[in-house]
Amino acid sequence: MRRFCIGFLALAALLAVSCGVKVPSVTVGGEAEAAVISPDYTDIVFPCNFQPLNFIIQNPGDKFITRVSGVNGGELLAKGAVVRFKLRDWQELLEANKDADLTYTIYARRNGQWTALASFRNHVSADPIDEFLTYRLLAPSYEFYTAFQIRQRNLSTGKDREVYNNRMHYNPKEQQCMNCHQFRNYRTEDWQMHVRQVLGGTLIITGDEARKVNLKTDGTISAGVYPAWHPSENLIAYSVNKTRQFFHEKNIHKVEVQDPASDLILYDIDRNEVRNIASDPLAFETFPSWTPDGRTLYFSSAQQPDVAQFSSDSIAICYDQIYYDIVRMSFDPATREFGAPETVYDAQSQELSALLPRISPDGRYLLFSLGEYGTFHIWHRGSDLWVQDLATGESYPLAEANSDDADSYHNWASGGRWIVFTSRRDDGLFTRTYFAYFDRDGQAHKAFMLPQSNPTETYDRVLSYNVPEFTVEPIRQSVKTLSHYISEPVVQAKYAE
Amino acid sequence: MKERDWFRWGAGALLAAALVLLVLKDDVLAKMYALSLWPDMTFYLTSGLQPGVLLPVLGSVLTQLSPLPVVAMVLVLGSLAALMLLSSKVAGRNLRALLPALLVFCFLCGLDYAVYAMRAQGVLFSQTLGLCFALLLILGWQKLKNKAWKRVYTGFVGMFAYPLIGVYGIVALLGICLEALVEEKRGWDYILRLVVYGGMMPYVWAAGIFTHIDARYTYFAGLPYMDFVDHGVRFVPLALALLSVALLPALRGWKPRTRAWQPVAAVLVAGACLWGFSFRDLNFHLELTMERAAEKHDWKKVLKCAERSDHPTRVIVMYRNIALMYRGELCDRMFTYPNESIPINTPSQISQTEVCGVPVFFYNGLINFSARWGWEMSMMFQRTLERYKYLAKVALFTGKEKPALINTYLDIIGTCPFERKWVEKYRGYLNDPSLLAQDEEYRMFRLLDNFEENRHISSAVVENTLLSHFAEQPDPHGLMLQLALAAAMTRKDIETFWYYYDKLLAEGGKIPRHVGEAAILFAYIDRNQQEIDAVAQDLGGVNSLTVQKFIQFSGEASRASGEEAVAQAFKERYGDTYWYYSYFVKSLTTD
Repeated sequence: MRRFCIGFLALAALLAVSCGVKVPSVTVGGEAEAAVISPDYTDIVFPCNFQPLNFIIQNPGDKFITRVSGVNGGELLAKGAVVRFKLRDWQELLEANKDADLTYTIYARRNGQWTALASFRNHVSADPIDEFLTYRLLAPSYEFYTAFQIRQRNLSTGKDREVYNNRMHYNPKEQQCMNCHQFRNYRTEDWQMHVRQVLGGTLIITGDEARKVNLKTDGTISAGVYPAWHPSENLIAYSVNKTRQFFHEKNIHKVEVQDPASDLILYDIDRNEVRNIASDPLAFETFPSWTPDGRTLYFSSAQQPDVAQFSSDSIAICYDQIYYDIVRMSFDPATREFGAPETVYDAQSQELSALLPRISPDGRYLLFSLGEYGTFHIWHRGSDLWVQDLATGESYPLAEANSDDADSYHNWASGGRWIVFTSRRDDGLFTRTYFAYFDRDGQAHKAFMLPQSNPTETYDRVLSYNVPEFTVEPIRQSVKTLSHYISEPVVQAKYAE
Repeated sequence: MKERDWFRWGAGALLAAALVLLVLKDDVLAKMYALSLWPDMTFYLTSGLQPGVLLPVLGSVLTQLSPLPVVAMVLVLGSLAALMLLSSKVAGRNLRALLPALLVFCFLCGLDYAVYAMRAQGVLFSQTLGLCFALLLILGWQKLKNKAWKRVYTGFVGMFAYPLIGVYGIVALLGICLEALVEEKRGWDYILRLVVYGGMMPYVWAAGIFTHIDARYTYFAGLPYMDFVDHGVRFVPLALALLSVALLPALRGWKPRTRAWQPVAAVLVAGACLWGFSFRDLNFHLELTMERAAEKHDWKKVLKCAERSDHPTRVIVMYRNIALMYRGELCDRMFTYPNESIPINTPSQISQTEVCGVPVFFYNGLINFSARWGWEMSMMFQRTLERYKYLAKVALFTGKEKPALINTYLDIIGTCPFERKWVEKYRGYLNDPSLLAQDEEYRMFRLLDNFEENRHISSAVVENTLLSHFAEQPDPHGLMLQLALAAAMTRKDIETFWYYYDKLLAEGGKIPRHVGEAAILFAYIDRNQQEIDAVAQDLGGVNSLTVQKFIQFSGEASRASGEEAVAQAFKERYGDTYWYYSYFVKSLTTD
């Protein structure tokens, strides 16, 4: 028996040794050939608490070995064209190399000989990223939907869980849509999401309580759409939008989403009361966003192209002549009164459209997306991310992070050093989530895609990831609990003049 | 004849009947293949993570292994034979043992227009497999001799069958418990097992693992319930099949005396069931056949199919018009066919756009809308091989999409074992655009793509959208001009017709038959002698066949009275003219 055990252990050791990954000792050729990996995780800056950046090697070769070594020590070896790192090893490597570079060397075996491809470097930023990212996962449809989900990713471990899916209340005759999940101050104690059609309403969760509200009142043009939680008061600013879309017969943009009317409202959670805060009949106001101190509300606003000729049909005709500026209003939390609107970024004069203002947590930068026209940049290939330094008033594109395709729906992480946004840069159709480091000089670095534990899934999943929102903690409710909340009767909000 | 012989004969008869029906429904089998896809990660993320996951996965795999209807027939017959064999092992060789196979086949024969809009995957095999698995589990229990082991096994089935095969696991448990109650003197503890495992385990699984499943459908897991909640009658044979599997083991010992008439009656009842539950609709089958023929560019077959229906749906009319367009005969022959608006024969809420939007938009050159509906359908129902093929072709044809997108589609199609050749062909186009230029579909698309960009609020009604698209072209030429005239004639839009007619004259060449008919009719309606003379001149003078025939038609029309009788009389003589369409086809129902 003893002999058997020893034999077994020896065999196991032999197997372990023979299966272990070693850097090939014999290499031929120079280092001229660049490594081509997908997703492109080369020359990026990524957070020290990030999940493994797994990838696929696309260079030719029948066998591959990847070596990742840190400037401050530590090494990872992986074999195969699909490179997946073990979480614990990866975390140890990152911990040892905070604010240092990792060098990647890929060895490819061709015709029985090993070649080292040109090494590349990534920098491990000492600035951590918020641990959780909540997003919607759905196929790129337009009007109809049956299956889609809100999911949450733990960005440190890669674990991904379903928050809610619209099959929980399946009804073959009517669909259920949910959107615009948003959190107060990056925490999950207070958050909200909309449910449309079946069991529709706005689900507002405050601590252990939940209320499903109908924000459409006689005094507002629609229910609440794009939300903005006030950082300290029990208030949510919403845009109210009459939205419609039309379809291009041959234009590459395929669809245009328009708001023939839109205003801003303020919802008082305690009083269950809404009031209009920006309802200029000659303007379309949308995408509200508070400054971190809660004393200013930013939003996008467009002037009607030609009031005399204006109708819902004519807006379809002049769809590419609607330009949104970034505007702000001061807010006094004590009196809850707003100041006069003030244009911060004049896009209209450039015949461009600036959307989705987001103020950095330190209050210094305004991040927005700038496109050719309209209110829905994710369908506009020319859309890019821009920032304005509020201290100097200088505006500039985030050139390193932008792409030749649509870059939109962006958010800041709570530390202000990371931004997340959605982009169609990969294939022009599927929206994928990208991160970029925003340095202390106000410049964004090369963006990188949300990794998958199995990188082949990145492209297997023919689904779009949108509305990425950071939080520092996980959502507290289970799918079943949210389903229960959603099935509760809707409470009608009151309208205050 | 002994009971086991009756079983043999019955099984043989059922398989023979199944073969006949499958041959008659070969177009449905082909469609089921086109509407399947090799399971992948998106499948799991969107619909796969639910109790009974094994069934849609295996069902999809088997469907994917049936690229030809004949292979599907063999596999369906094989699965039915396996079901009958297992059933006979569990319940003994008697006619009762044929019930599950008969009922599940009735369910399959009942598949109608719902196949276009199925949310469940692999339905052609998944339910038969579910019944087989349930019977296998019961058989396993029967094979055990030791009572204690039987109880352990029951617990195992009760706990672990549900997540894999859904409600079929509960059916197996029910079958085991009922047989135990009949067989064992002290088998009352099985009631408790049934209550605990059958009543509670699905909820335990739902609370622990399947937290994202709508609790209302806990006991429907593994069934295609999402497709049938709006039309429950389709469920009846399947529900009875499940019930029969649950009851058969308990009836194993029941051997009533067989009288000679009973097997005969059983055959008659079985035949009546198959006939009664089977969906038979000529237009449905023609549409499926036309769609396949169009995919192969077999326009002759498309036209031949159309001739078989005296009362076509608009889907059939649209396919026929596409075939005529490809053959360059649209404006010569489009009104030689009954332009009826027979609604599609389905109790489900399925629109014509859901039935044919993707291919019909594609063949008419509105490929943005084809892609749109490809995705809408994928989102509403399921992603399928057929939809991906159109999406890939659209992405390739526009010339504006990124190669990464085309490759994504091709990679997904390439996961299907029998589609590698198709993928190679289109990958070749991607790598060498000169090959694409030689593709017949692409060449036609280039002709159809020759239009001014327009925008639509919706494209939810396929024929309306097409008519608007073609009839609102500011400056069409060649094929687009023919389509513009066809649309104007279909809409009976006189003003638009004249606009395009003048363009046609300016282009020169032969005036198509229906265009000539429309021109003389509209000139007559306008009561403008100068115009009539001019048109008559265009058509070869007053003695031309068209003008002479129109004079005859208008004379008879002015004297006629009694609308219905007149319509019938005119149909016989002028049913193949535009005049008949214009006068007697009052309104088209396009959706």
